[in-house]
Amino acid sequence: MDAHRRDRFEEVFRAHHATVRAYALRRADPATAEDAVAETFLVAWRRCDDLPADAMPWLLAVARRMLANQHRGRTRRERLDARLRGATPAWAPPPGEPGGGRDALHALARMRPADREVLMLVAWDDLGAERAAAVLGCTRVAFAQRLHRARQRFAAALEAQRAGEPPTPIRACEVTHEH
Amino acid sequence: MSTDPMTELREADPAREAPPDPVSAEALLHRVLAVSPRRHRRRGLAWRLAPVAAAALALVAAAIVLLPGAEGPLIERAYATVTPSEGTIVHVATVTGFARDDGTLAKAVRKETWTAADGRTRQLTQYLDDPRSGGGEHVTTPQEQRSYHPNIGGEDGTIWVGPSRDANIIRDVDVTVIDGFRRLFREGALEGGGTVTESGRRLQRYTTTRGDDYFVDPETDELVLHRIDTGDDYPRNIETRVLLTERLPLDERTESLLEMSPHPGAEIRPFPFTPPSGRARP
Repeated sequence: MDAHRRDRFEEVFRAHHATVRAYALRRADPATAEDAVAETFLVAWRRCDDLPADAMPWLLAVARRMLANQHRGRTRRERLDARLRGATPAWAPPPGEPGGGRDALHALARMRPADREVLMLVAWDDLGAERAAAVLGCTRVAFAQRLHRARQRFAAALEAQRAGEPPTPIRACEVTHEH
Repeated sequence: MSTDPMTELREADPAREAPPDPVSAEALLHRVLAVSPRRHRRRGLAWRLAPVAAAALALVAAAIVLLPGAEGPLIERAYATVTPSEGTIVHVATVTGFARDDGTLAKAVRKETWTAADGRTRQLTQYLDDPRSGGGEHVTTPQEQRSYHPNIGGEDGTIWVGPSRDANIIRDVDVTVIDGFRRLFREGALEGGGTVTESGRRLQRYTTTRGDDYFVDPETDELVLHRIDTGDDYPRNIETRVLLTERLPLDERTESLLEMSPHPGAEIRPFPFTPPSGRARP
């Protein structure tokens, strides 16, 4: 029985570790993301018997909660974090050359966290409506509506970005805290 | 020509250029598998029993109020959990992470300790910092001796071993986080620092004048986490997670857990000794 659990967990880990890690890295700084990934798979190991056949949305939902938990613990560690990383982390486009995808990233940074999460799940985590809805814990129909609105707002934000309106940085904590 | 916004967003994915490190992934897999797979209770049953549990909690709370000291404060229960009583062995497994200046993990050390009430202790230490080279495993702390390993910045993981557990010179140096917790409790040096939430668990924090924090799970009375902020020193942050705490009966079968087994890599030296040149003394 234990060998079966172990085999099942290893199979899930090897199949989805990269996806969960990428999910976390898109939403938090690398150290926080790695912690969240480790905690996520620890939960999966302990609840291996409860893992659904399609484990990926389940894992992403756990990772999402882990990131939110880490945000709640962040206040206490803020002083240490600031010293370790040199600055208070904020969700902002990663550094890079201007143009191209930079506009999209800046536009994304302008958006409400709820909209941003919906867009990230589809565009970056490559989830269909069914699986993305499972991650957020809503129905497929509700997700489709949220995605429709988020797309419209993103298009508007992209135009605003290209029009040169100053961006409004949004803190990383809002990404995981609002939902 | 304008590109579809969603297409543009897909192409801007910042994680596309950050492929996972398979070595790190394997190390994480082994760390997770080293944790005891505590079975999760099914939520359905938990929810059905919630009213019963609430009533039971109310009774327990009332009992605590009416019978002060029946179980003692949490800190005392936590101390009892990690302290061997007559005829028992306390078995503890921990993993400690050492953070670099940029917050990334420099190395990890896994320790497993068996301690009896008569003072006998056996410890295994495994270095997980570089699985590509196979890591290393050391057996330390034979009977009637005590080891310590404060050389946290060292590269070779040398273990220094002293001859007596009562030697004053090692009074302030603890073999494990559990040792430190027990010593600070006995010295009355742990102060309540409120409750915090770590990875979804509500924990009681205890602070020390050294600047480190111990975290106890009030549901299990177990010490689960220890964190040190070393200020400007290296490593910047040391975090130890307690993977397992269990109490075993001390009998013929478990007696061997306290005995130091032969190990080709073990290095036992009398104390005091002169460290090799160029190496900081612990």
